[in-house]
Amino acid sequence: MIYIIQTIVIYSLTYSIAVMGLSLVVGYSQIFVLSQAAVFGVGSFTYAVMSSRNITSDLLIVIPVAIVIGGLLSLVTGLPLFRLGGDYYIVASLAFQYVIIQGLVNWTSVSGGPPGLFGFSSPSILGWNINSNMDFIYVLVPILVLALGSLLWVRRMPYGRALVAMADDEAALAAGGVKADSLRVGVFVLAGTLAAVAGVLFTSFLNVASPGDYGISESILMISMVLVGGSRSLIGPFIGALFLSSLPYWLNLVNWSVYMTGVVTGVLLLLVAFFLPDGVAGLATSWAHRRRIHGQSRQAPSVEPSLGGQS
Amino acid sequence: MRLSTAPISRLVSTLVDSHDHPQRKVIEVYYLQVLINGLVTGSIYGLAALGFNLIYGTTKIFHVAYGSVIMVALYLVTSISLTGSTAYWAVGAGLLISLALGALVYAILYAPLEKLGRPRPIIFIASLGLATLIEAVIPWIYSPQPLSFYLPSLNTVFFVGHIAISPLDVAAVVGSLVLSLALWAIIKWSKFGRQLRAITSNVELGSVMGARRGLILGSVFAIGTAIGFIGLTMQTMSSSVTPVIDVSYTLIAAMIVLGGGAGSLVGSYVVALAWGVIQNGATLWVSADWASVIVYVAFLVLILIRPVGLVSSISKRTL
Repeated sequence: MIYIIQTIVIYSLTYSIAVMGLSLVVGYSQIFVLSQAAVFGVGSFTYAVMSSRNITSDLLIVIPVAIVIGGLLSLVTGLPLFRLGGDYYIVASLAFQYVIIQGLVNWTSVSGGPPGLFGFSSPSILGWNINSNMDFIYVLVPILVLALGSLLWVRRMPYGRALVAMADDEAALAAGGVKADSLRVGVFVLAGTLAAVAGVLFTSFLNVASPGDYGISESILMISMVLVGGSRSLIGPFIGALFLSSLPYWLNLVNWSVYMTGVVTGVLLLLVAFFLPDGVAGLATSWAHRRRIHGQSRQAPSVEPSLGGQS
Repeated sequence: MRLSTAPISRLVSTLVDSHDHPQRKVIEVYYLQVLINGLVTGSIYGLAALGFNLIYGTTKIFHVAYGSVIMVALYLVTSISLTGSTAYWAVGAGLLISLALGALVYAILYAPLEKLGRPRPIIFIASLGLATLIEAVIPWIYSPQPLSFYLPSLNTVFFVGHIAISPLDVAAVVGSLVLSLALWAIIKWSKFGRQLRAITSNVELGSVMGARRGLILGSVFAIGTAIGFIGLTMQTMSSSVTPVIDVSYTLIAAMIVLGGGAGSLVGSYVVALAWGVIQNGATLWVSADWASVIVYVAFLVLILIRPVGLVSSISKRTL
């Protein structure tokens, strides 16, 4: 039982890192990115290739390499944001997702083809071998804190505030000019590097990397984590990642079909669209907000930013 | 020397160099066959894009569950019949099913969301949810294994000169051309088409129309889904039915519509044909593995050079 709990914690922490940056992109730039799994997968393969070729398994070396590769890849896939928006970027990101993963599948000398790479040495940090689940959690937590710090830093930056301010107004966003666009691409690259780092951690834990695991459905799952949890709050992606990444385990415990994962994800997205435009975290904040209004005497309610526009 | 150059220059040098070369004819036939196959593939993609274009161009709803809804109709067809002459009746029934499903999706999903005043990003989330739901339910009820959907009478080839053509190929090319023209004529000249254009061009006018507007948009979803169903049926008849076909079907339709210029029937038709030809050419001269990657990259290049698509409908409303 303790093993299952540890595994669930590792999964949800890893996915939290992978989708944290994405929440900033979705929540404040109003851009749906459906290529996050591709960058996640490239991070995975960075570790898999370096480890299986006996280059190194030291996370202090692999993670910076993954940051560089994932960052460059995100820069290439993010540059169209200067020209494309809305639906056009959804389609472009799906095309990028397909091209990257199919390219990886076809590049068999590196990726091992459809079966992928497996059975490499366990990760280490400066000679300390990371073997047990608890060791993994010790590695994940500081990385998560660093990632969270970087997000807070972006939100505090002058243009980060502008981004938050413009979140509800597509016209204002469009009128924001090149600097706002650069920031959008910057945030996008940050989201990509975080996903690549998460990919390294994911594969070093699982000891397997297969290109098929990073397809379009995985990208949809990752954006679902953000949307279900709530893209406007810092806690939202954690809630989404915790719930959706551990869902297969819960379903397995009660012996339900594997397809239930997709059914639950789909139903949750529909519920979000109909009732919770700001996700579960949005529900919590609006509840707190209502309590505050009730507590104070009737004042004009301040307008909370909402992806739903009207709430 | 000739073999080492790129395909197009190979064609040119073949035609120029070998005037009386015995192989010349063979190579010409070979290129012509690739071109024909490409046009057939492109015509099927054209149907996929036509249905998507009708929905997207009119409602501006990014209906990402497009292929998934069509897949539901196709799987219902497979539970009726997949072989023999009954399969034709089953496909006919599937056409009616897809009309009904399209209208149903608008009535129970998009219309209520529009009534709630949800903006387009939220409507996209709902569409994504529907697609995810269908992609899990279909392999659960049916099987994730591919189902063969092969009608021998439609796939038996005959020869025109040296070019091999099957009745299905003819049906795809003629069908997509006729349906495109018919849709264009309906939008241009019928009363339904005029009301449709009114809704597309003027949102406020559309909202004044009230219940009539819902009826028109419902029929747009019904017709779009049915057109897409015809395309997907043709595509699966020469391969097989699997519960994952919907993803690439929607994606290709969306790429062609945006690449051709949203709302432009001509633009998306041209892009669809080019798409089929490039894909078939690349399959032959590069490899089947890289062919789709090449076309996707071509789309990305096109959309970056011309973000409005090949034929811009902003200045000139074609639909």
